[in-house]
Amino acid sequence: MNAMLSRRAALLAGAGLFVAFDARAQTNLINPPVVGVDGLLAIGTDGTCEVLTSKTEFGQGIDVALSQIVAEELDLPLSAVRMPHADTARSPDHGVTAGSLTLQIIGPRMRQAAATARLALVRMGAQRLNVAVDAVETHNGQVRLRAEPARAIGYGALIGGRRFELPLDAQAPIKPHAQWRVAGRDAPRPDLLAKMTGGGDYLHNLRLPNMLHARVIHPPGIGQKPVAVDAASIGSIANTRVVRRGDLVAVVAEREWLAVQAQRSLKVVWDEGGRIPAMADVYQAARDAPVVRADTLVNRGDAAAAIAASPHKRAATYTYAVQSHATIGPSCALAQFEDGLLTVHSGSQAPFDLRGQIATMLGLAVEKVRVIYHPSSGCFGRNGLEDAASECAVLAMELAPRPVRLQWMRHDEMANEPKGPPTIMMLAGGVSNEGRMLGWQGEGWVPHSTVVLVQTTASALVGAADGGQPGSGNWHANANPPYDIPAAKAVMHRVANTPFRPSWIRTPGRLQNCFAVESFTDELAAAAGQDPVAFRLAHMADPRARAVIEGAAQAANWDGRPSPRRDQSGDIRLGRGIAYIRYDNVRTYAAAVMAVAVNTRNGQIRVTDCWAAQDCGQVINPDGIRLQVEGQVIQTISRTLLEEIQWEGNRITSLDWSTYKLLEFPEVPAIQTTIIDRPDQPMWGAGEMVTSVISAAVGNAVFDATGARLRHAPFTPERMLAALASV
Amino acid sequence: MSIRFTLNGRPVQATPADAQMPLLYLLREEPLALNGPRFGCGLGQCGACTVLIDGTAMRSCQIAAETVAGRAVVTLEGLGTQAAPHPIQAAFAAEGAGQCGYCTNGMMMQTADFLARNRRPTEEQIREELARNLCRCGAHPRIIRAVQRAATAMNG
Repeated sequence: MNAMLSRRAALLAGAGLFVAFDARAQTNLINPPVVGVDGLLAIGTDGTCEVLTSKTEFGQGIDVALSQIVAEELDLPLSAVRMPHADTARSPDHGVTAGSLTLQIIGPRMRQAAATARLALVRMGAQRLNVAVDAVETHNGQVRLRAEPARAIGYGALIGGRRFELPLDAQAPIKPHAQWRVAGRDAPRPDLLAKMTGGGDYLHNLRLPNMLHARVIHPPGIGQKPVAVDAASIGSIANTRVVRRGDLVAVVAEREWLAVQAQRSLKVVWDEGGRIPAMADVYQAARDAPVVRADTLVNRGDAAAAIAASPHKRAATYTYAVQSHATIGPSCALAQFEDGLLTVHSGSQAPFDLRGQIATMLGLAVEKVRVIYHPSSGCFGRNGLEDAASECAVLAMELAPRPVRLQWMRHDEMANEPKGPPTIMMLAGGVSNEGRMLGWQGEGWVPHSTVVLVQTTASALVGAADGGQPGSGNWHANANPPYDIPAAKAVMHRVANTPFRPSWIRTPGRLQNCFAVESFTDELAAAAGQDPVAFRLAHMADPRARAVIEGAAQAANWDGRPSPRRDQSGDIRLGRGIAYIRYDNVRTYAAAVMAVAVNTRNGQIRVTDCWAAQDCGQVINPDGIRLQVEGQVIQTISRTLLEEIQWEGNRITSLDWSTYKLLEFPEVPAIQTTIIDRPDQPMWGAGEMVTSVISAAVGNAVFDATGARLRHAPFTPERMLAALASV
Repeated sequence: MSIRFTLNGRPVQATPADAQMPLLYLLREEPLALNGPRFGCGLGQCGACTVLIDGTAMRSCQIAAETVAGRAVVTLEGLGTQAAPHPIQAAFAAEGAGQCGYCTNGMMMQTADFLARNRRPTEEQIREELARNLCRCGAHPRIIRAVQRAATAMNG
């Protein structure tokens, strides 16, 4: 603990009250930190508080939520708590910001750190006021006499010019929920007005003095290598030149537009490159890929025998398309190598991991690389930000000591960012005449990786390992049915590779797996002539699960009856569907009812309404949750109806917004969010859970409307018409 | 060849690198160095780069910088400041109408043009007006509410 505090002291010299907590043992389920000190809260001599963490704020609102927790526990106004952006030279390493785990993992520790600080301030204040500890209380950044509130001393004055270093006190009392004034209430994001007026810290707005502008010439096809680069082809463009290291070919210019021109003009001859499966074959290719390991998520009873003995049997295969993170602002980075130190500016959700990857790739000591985080365009997982950063780092080494800014163009982003992988799940089930699920079998194929780092484009292009692999794991979760079924087996085959560097994209696997599991649950309900909500509740004992299912259904004014509807005629058919998940089977509960209108003539599906219900335990910022839910609903409807990466040969052809469409304003549904607050329960995340249920709920609604079952996402008009033709 | 135009109410002079250089690049680089208009696609498809040219919302990635000589360009910075925000900016902040904030410039600049043409828009008209402005975070419902709030505020 002493070594830990002295290291902090070196980083944060000066007076103040510092609380450190060691969260090594259980900090991060995804990415355990490599260093020992994992948290710090610092109250300055001005009485304001800084929350130091590597967790990054990229619009999801965790800076507000963490600040609310700290402000509440410290009795500070919210405006007196700040969360500086992550900087590997300054912040503790709490690992990657991912998995909707920040509040769940960091929130309680921040709370305890703030309680530790508050207890210390109470003791200091009592001493200063020369009274017993129980004669004082904290209020609005002050310690004051309970009996005589006018006698008060501010936190800053108590700290004075001294320095206090406190280890986390696990026994420091936590404020009861009933006394909350800041947490548990809507709190606005402090950064918004600056963003709305062209200010604030933002990666894409960063300009370094005397910087160069770069564009990388990415191979047009997967695995293609440059055979010849004709530098003379940009000779007519002023102040531009080619920079090359290994197979990484770039142009740099004094002015950004000239770099764009040079990128367009540079003549490069490429070899043929690698081969990837055709679009139509990509799911079978995933099934045929080498299996690294198989995870059995559930195995009870004899599922095959139970299904065979069931009066109603169903079998179906579900697939989910390759998708892009589709950030609106293409990836960007700035870097400079000067005096032996490489500084990289990035919007990466994992600044410490990125530092390690860049250092490994370049053969630099890790302490010679500094990654500074800046808010960026919403990335929703591991998109191209780390790739742009690593490419920019290579260029900075070549161009030292001048700083360089690399901005990916739209086509760079669509072609080169890592993608959500193709997934496939095969299901079989049996149900009784009375509507009891008797047996369930599921088998899926998803990517696997033995490390939690996706190899960067730069690492592959320069031919220097960076500790990453061209893929990602953690795609198997929620492939099991969440219901009480006497005989059930679910196995996920984790395959060695799928094309396009499979990468975490919002709600990895849970969305795709829940789509299959919850659509198939609906198939079994329909086979037994059961209402979809009643069918789920009949197989669900957990009261919190029942509460979100019932909450969504009640909000939607659910009309209990079996699907599909049989009472419609004409081109437009209306329907409603539900889906449910308990995220990772252990945390946040979510359910959504979706209403759709299907045009049976042209196959267009329109989602008209969504009623989402969520129980993420103790609520910190209700409006933050609503914003996240709305965003998830809209983004996932877009993925469900529209989004699919296209390719021909080894070349991605969906390189812009006309070939990779996003949901637009006229198609955005009405959204109603029901939050079930559990003040006495642990806080869980809210950033991904509702995403999981959207595709299944839309598909179930389409089935209700038409009797046609959609088993391949996205639900394009062509697939809708084909499904209608087979009803 | 340098051009003169009015930028956020002030006369400026700047030099495009060539005849094709889009206005967006001129606005974002030194010495103008504005942050409002953003590069999103360079294809006129997403709206992130929108500015007002003589009062009309236009995609600055699709307008050659040379062609704004003698014209009036207004960017997000010209609407208002953090200390004195335009009603549209204040409304977007009040409604929390943005997550990452990348697309928001385009949403607000399109709205500035729109509300000058239509003081009391219906929700459907707002949706149609913003249909060509893309948002990945899904802030759409709050953006719609922000436009309604701004319209109310501007009608005083």
